[in-house]
Amino acid sequence: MSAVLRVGATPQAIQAHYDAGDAFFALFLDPTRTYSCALFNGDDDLDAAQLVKIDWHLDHAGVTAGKRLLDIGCGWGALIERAVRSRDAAHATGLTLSAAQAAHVASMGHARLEVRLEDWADHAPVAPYDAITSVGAFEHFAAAGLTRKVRVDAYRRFFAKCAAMLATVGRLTVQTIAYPSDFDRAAYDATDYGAFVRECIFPESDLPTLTEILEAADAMFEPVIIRNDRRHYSRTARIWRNRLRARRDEAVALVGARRVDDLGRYFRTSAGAFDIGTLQLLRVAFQKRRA
Amino acid sequence: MPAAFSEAQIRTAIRASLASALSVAENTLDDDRDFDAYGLPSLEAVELAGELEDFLGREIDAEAIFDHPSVSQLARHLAAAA
Repeated sequence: MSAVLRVGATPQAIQAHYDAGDAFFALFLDPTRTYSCALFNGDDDLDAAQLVKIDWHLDHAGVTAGKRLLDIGCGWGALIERAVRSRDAAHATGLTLSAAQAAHVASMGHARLEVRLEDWADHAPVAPYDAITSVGAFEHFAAAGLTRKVRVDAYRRFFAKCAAMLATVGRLTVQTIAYPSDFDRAAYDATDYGAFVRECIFPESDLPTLTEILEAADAMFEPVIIRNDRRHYSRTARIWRNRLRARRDEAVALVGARRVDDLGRYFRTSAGAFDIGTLQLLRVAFQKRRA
Repeated sequence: MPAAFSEAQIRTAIRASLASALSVAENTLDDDRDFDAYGLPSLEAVELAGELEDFLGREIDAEAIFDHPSVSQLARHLAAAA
């Protein structure tokens, strides 16, 4: 993707957030290093809830034996690994912009797993996919400071690309943090916390609203299920924060006190923002519309 | 077990966090005035809840700030819920 056309976060911005090192993330994430909201059933612990979340996406994307899957923003590869090992998918491709994540997935060495250090816009599949999942990547598809129209156009290009990569009967699941549709971005940016997140946590990224997502998808996809699981993210973020605090000394040795404290503040306040609905956690299952 | 805090201790902690969030001196705060009336943005209120969470050493649902929207009400609620 050329610099002129790029409206999402740059690879440099993504790497700044996700390349802090596998050892650092292993301190507070579950063993699969899933860095997105879990899906809790009852008293499930985080490890179980991350697998339930992965299964929700595999189920609703229709990943069964023999299917071809693309995972956009594959992280450390937990979802694509489960697709080939537990669902017997024919092939699973993961895209990431983080070199550390790509190296980790490549090291799994599974014949039906492929990882590519590549932007979704540049991906050229060798054959159509039956299913596409994207968990915790949509947050980075639009840069900060864009107008609503430019943002929706960027999201529309994502859905158009997904539709083009899918077989006729294709399904897509998206999981993303979102703002309420009447969210005042300018007022948020003016707060101390808004500036902090922009500067220290997610540079160059802005969040969508549900209506923007549905509007952008409308010509190519119909929604089948829409869930707002914001309370699940409160719970996930509080667990990450407690784990990070419990292992603070090790974390500081790996990335420095500033980074650890920034991330702790982000987890703490975003948990509260999910509590009150200032942030939403959307899981949307789509099916491709008939042409 | 987290330490138990008295309502007075919790009130002191809330006042310190609120004064800091509003960038005003603590002695200008009215404990019975609604947070809304101070023009406290909701995310600042959430940060205040987070600071109290750290102070008390237990989870606080950020909705408590909106359900108990003054220093006095919040201190009473958090002391009772301990």
